[in-house]
Amino acid sequence: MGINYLTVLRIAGFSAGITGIAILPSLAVSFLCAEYDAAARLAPCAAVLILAALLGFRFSAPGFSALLHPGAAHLHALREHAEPGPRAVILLSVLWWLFSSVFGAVPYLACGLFEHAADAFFESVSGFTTTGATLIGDVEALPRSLLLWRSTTGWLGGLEILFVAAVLIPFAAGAHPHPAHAETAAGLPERPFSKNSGSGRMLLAIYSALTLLLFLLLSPGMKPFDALIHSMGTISTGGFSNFNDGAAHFSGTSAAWILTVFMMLAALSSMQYFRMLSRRWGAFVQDAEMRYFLAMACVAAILLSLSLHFAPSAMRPARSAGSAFFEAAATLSTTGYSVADYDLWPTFCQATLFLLMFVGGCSASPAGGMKVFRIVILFKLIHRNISLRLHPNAVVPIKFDGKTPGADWVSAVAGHALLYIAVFFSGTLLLSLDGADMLSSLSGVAACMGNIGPGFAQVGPGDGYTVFSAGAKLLLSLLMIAGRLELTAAVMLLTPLYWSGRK
Amino acid sequence: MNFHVISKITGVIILMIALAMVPALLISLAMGEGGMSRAFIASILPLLVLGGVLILATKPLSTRLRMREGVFIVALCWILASALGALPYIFSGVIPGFIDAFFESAAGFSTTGATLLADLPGIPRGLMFWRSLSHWLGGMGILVFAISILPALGIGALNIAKAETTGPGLEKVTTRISDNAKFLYVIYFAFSVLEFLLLLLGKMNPYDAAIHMFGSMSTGGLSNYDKGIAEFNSPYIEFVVAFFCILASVSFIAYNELFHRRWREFFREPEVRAFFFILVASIAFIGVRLRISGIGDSAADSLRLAFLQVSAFITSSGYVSTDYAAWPMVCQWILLMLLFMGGCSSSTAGGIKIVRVLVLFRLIHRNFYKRLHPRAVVAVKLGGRTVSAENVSNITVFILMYFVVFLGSTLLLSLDGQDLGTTLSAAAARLSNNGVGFGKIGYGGTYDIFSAPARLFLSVLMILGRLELFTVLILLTPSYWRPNRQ
Repeated sequence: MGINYLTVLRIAGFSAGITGIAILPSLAVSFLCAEYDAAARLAPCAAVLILAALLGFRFSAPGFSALLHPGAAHLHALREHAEPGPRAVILLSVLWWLFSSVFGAVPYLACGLFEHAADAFFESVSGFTTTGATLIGDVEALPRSLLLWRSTTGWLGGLEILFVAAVLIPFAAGAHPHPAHAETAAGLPERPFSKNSGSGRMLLAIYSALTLLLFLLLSPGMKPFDALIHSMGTISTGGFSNFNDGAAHFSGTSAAWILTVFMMLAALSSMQYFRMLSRRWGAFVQDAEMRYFLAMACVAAILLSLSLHFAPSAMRPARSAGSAFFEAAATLSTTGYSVADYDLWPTFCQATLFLLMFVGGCSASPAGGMKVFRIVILFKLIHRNISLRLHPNAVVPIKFDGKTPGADWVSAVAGHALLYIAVFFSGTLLLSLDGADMLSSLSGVAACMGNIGPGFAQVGPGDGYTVFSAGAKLLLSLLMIAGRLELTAAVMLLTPLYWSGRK
Repeated sequence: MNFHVISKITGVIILMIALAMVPALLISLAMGEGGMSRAFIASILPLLVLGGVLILATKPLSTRLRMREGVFIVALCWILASALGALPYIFSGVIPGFIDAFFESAAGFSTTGATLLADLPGIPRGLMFWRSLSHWLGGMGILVFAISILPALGIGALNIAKAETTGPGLEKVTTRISDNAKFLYVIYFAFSVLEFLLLLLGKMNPYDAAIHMFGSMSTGGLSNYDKGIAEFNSPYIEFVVAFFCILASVSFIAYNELFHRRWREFFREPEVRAFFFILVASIAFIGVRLRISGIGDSAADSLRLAFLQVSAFITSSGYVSTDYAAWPMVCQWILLMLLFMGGCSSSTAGGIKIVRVLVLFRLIHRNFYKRLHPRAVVAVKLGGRTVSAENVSNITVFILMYFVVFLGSTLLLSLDGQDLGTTLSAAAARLSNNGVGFGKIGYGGTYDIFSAPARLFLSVLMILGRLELFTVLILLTPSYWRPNRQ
């Protein structure tokens, strides 16, 4: 199928509508908390966005557009039956995140939070991609309604990526679920969900239920608003907080452990929740990706604890074991909360966390990074290659989770890893034009590509990304979107290959 | 395992190392360095005996070597060479500890050129010469050298050459592997003589000229002065040294085209083209960027600084002449990327190698294509020729493994407690066989900040990088040691 400006208009309208509706809870909070100034600014935002959405729908409606453009018949087909091809899915998913981020930045600008539009865009992208990188120095000074809006973008972004990963991409693969397709965002070779909207509704239910559960568990220990913000930040793996010291506010309380557990839960594949709901406990327990994920988290947490235990007292945070588990979970799940300033920790801890930044969570979860299953496949690939050199005539297929995903799929995974390396290096090259020191630049790129949030040095925990110039912030925003869409989709749009030879 | 052949080849290598110490001994004698001469004699004699016994005691029934044995021999010989090459350091008392001497010797053979020594002009000249000569031997490969002078080693040599020469080995010049090896060494030798003469023309004394010739042809980058090549304060010498580093980083296989006067083919070689393109682009960009920041006295001076540091990083020689840590961040990051990338395959440079980076981009492109056309079958092509599926998979895995080993060794090295930047760059530089890095091991820094276990680990990492990972890592897999089971 082809894409024309009407599809784009429709996507934009849809995005504006969702953003407009999502502002309403924040608007309600502004009235409840008597923040009338914020209310006066948020209300027009919501109104304009919803109106824009209605207009967008009106003008891209099939009946109307057929008058303007004969190609619009395709649109109709898209909506009703036809399955969009890979080109369309790629463009639509990138456009979706771009539009959402642009519209999401409107409330920040309306409230005068940032001087530059680039800053507002960055903050909004950081929300919708569940990164959690921030430019706001003093969050405690912000009106509550705006804080809620910031967390809403993160929560919504987490939900959207679940939809895209679980429903849209396999849907795009269509009747021929080719491994090369399935790899790109959903990750696993099998098609976990049917394309009817039932699984979409289930995802929404699971996501909301997890958020509610965390909210209820956090409530006894803190104010309802704090609990709300942190449950939204945790389940979406975004990691926005309403405290200047972030999650360090809860250091030493039971809330820190609850967050640790829920960060891990949030980074589990949504397929695991489907299995739980359908009581397929055997499949749940035997899921290879979850096992590797938990094993990695435990090993990392134990290494961090040991290193902190033997570290000189100046480097040791107050509750070192708790902090170690928290940081391991926060980095691996790409939430990016932090209970301690790990920039002060021993180098071994920093190196461990740096490694975890590239791993990320499980497939079909809101977590970012390269994803656990890919890392496992890469190690299997290395192992296979070494044994093939010893036994050149052996045929050793790569197995994962008891299945044999096929050579094409494995080569797509390897290609993704190579792309990750290439984007990391070239992203840092571009960012280094800005002149920040090497560690800040490279960890900033890794943290944004991996949708984590904080990095090291000048972009460490609690520092924000204020050191960078407007251009660099824009670059980081694009890296966040690229990382959110597993790189391939976003980077491909920059190549002539995508735009030429339409067949 | 064909232990007879293994012990015979090991014997040859040990003899070779003993013989290679003789010129260093002569220099020591000529300089009247009594202690140093005794140390060399004390190293040479036992090695001669050991090597002789190993050769004479074994009578191999067949010279066939399989992959398994080829890998074993190469890894064994490199570790042995580094360990035995450390003897003169220990006996002379210049570096009394074994680990430190092993580090220095491994840095020599692997052409890394990292040093623990601080006051270089105070080191006995014979030892200095030995250190540089080990560079030169390691540059093209100790075993390849043995193969080229002793074709009798024979039929199984292919697996040895594969394990020791750098790069994925997509093509070879001649059908006979010993001719191939000979060709590499003839060119290596010719360039070395040429550079030596050119350095003499630059009013260097023969001893300094030899040291710097060894350092640049092997892209090891050792100097006998603390300030390196900046000591001579001569643009001519700097240029000659950098120029020959670059020549040594071009694929020696590609020189075959030049040899047959096929100029156009030489420059059409995709790897050679990419290498020169990257080189020129980096120099131009950094030169302009330095000019903007006002680093360097004039435009020409900025360009000169850019040329020297870029060639020091891309060729993995590490002949840096200025403190690039003060440069704009983007220039430093380019240098770091060049450090990872390295030179061409079948050269003396370290790093991932240009040809693999080219294949990496082709693979990414193919992945994009397959995303759009899922059922297409697309071959990876380089310069019009198809890269075989096996080679593609080997290259993919090599790159992945490079980063896995890099991050893994950063993790291990971080136990030493240096800052993260220094640790990262130490692991990257070691693996790429470059002597210099960033942070505390940048311009003018030495590796004595690391503890003894960390130095030992770094030594292993240098050999790992020189032998391009597989040869060493394959020995660590259980299936290697259980040949009859799959």
